Amino acid sequence: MSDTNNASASAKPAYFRANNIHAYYGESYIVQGISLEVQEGEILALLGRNGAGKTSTLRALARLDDPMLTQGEVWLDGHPLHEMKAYQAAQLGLSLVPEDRRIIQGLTVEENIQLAQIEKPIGWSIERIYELFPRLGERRKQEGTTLSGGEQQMLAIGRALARDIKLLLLDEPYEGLAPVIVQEIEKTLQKIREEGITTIIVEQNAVAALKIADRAVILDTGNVVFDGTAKEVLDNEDLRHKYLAI
Amino acid sequence: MTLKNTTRRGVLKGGALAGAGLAMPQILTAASHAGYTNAPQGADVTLGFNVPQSGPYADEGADELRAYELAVEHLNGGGDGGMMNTFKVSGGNSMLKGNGILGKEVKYVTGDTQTKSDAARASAKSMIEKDGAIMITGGSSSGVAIAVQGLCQEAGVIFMAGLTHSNDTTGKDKKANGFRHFFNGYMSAAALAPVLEKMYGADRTAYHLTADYTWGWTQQESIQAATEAKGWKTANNVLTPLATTDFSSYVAPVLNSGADILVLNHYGGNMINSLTSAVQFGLRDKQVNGKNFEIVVPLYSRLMARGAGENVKGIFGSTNWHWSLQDEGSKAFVKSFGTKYGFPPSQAAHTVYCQTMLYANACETAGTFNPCGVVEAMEGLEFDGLGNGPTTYRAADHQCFKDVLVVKGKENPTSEFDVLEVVEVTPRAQVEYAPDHPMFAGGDLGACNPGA
Amino acid sequence: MDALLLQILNGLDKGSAYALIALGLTLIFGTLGVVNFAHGALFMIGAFCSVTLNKILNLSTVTLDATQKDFLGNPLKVKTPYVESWFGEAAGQSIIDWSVPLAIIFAIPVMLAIGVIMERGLIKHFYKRPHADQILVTFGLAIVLQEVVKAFFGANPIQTPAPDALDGVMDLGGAIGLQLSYPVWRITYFFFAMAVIGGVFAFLRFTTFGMVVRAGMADRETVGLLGINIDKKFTIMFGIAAAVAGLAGVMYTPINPPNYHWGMDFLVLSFVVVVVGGMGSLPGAVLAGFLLGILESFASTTWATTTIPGINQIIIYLVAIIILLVRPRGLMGRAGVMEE
Repeated sequence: MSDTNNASASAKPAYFRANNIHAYYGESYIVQGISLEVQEGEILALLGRNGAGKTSTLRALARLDDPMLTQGEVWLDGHPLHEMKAYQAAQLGLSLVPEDRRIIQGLTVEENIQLAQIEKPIGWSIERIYELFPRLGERRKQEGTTLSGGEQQMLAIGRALARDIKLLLLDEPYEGLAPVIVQEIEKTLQKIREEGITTIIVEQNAVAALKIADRAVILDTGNVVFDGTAKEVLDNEDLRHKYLAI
Repeated sequence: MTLKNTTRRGVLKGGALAGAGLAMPQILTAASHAGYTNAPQGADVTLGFNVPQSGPYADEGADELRAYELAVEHLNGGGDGGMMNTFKVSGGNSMLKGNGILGKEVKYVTGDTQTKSDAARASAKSMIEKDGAIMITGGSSSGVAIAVQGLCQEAGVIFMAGLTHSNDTTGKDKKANGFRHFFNGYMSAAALAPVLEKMYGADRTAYHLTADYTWGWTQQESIQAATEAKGWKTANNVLTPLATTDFSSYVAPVLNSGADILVLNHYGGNMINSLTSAVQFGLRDKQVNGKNFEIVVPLYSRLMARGAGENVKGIFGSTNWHWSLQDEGSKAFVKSFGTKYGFPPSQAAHTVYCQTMLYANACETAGTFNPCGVVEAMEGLEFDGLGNGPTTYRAADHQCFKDVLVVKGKENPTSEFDVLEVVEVTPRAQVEYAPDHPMFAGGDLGACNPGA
Repeated sequence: MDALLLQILNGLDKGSAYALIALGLTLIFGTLGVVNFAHGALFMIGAFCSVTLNKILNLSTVTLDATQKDFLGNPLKVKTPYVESWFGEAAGQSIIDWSVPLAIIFAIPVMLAIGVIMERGLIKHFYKRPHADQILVTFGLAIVLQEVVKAFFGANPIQTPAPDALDGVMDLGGAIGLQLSYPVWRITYFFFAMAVIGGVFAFLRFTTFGMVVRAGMADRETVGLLGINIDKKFTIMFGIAAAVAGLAGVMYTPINPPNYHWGMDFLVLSFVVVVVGGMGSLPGAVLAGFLLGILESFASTTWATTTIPGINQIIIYLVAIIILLVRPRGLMGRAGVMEE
């Protein structure tokens, strides 16, 4: 089903892979040797309890300064991301939609999207984004941080789609949202899936994540403890109890 | 502690205070054999030139240093001899032969007073203790002069003051080891008042802006007394901190104060800035009480007049000396300095050159560098040929008495050095005062201190 | 009443200079997160651009005039500025007369270059270092710059006059029946400062580059996630901040003759302005600049100094202390900045 890390040399390397990455927040050892792979067009759910290191892993993959990647390799479509800074990885098509959205204060909705389109590669046009999220179109001149939680999430995703994405990293897209809004975002993610955008989704709400994911990786204190299909996780009650508390 | 205190100067200040406090009584760690501090042992003798190399009077300090170097060159027999050739003592020639002092080659060390008393003391102390300086000279601020004079008295070395104009330096703060050649506030006022009365009349009201330290206070006091004796009134006296650079808030109230004369008791950078402000606010174009508004700068310096540019035209003041004087001594000095440096010397340069010569001559006369011998040789000395006419170093207070120059900003300067013209040479008799005059009383010369 | 207005006007002038310097400081702190203690020195260098241009324009051919003598009795050297020989005496004199406003054109590229060199050469190595390190290194740089200027130009203030046309006093109070004359150049300076401030704000609000800078000031990390290399843009902002400080200095020279110590004189106050206005808030910096300028002006009046002696020297720091105790983020700062 999925290629494991021990794939033979003749097999095609995964579209995206992280090899044995270690990352530190200052002196704190957070990401303790994680390896994972994602095929093109796949959606991978990155799960685990609070504090397992999910967000830190995403941030390290996105090449942010903290946590700092001290060891390991990150490859996206043949490019060595581990040698790059965040903006360079972004220019290669890596897109992180952060936890807490990070809508930029002082900029309007439209300016937030325009900001995403200053550097290539550019993805969706603003009009197409407004088609997907009509509420954003209505509020295009409004200051971004005055939007509701759900609208900000839409803006964050819309901002990501404004660029041409090779790998989309979603950090807790459903966090803090009312169930009604969660459903809307779910529909959006379905569309993203239909577009065939390779995605890693971190989500506390494991069931919702597993609904759209193909595969799942579970983390526990900075290490990978499971790597298999989403269905396997859904079916395995022991696994779920042990590492996900559901 | 404000941010300002954590500057380099703040650190220096703290260190200097600590150092001064700790080491005061044991200052005589310098060689004190042969009965006095830093008695020269070898073939040379070291003088300490303590001048401002930063702060509002730094340009004067630079000129003082030039004059000192020239003086040392002449003492050691180099150059054209400058005023050594014209220097006369009690009718005869001076004792200077151009072979150093008492046969020893003159060397020197320099220090930066930063125009701050504590830095000046620390610098002087270092020159005495570490460099073996046997005489300290220089400075361009009375606060500094008085502080260093006190230190030299305790240390047992001679202090030949540089540019210090406050009455207090040879008044309530006079010391036996200290000597001042430069004139003082009282003399400026005595010379200026008659000229001001002649030019501006007796029915005038003056507003004073005064640098807030000993020099400003005593000059202001002297000018106020002398002008009031002529019939002037004094509307106000406002003290301005020495560090002020923007005087607009001080100048603005002058307009509506009822005064028709502004007296700027400012020097150096202060004067350039305050005069600029005054002119900018249109004071010189005003008419108050039916008269033209006038500005007076009692203590002028050519260096600062140059800095003030156009603004000094027609403004009266006084100086200790000016390069345009035509006596033999002045001409010799101007030629010597001008040839070496390319521009004429300032009064600061002139006074410190004279002081160096006078000190050297006193050592030769006394046959020793011992401060008490020097003091005895200098007290009551009558000399001439150093640019101010016949001069006396009065024994009672170690102050030189000589003619004073009243100057005016030139209307049509021919060059950047030619900004002042001498309007009157006030004879010394007019500016003399008794040693116990109220403005100078309250201090005690004390006894000379050789430091052994 | 006229005295009151006069002090307010005075305060607006000084305040304009503070506002411009504080604006630059806040731009640098807000973008690069650097506490730049060399910023006052940039103001001073701008002023000396004025002085330098004046000197350049006054470069002269020297002819000996035997009919006049110099101080040593030698034939007087008469200087004729090159601009007069090239453009005729009237035009040449006019150019020299307008040297201060012309210095604006001269100063902009010079200050931009100095800013970029400072940033690329020295400051960028200190981004990640603690603020204390940044303060030490920029302060050291300020002292070096100050001593270099002193070595070239001497220690005394150097007269740099305003153009004759703008050099008088203006009667402001006539219309309202007050006796209020104020120097024309000071009023000119105020409007110039407003123009520069307006220009900076317009640049930030209406250009794409400005939008990126604003975004970077608000959330540097996220801007990187969108593929933008903010460091390069911030280097340019440093240059712009340097130019703003420099322009403030250029035009200030007729108000107060510049000397090498201006950097330090204005630096401390400008930092206080930034703290009071709110670190990282541009409108706060400008507002606080004017407020503190006016406050300082009032504290210097005779009335104030006789009521509380020395008030003029400490008033600014008193206000800063009060603000830091009561509302650490400053008047308009974002919550959380400087509040640990």
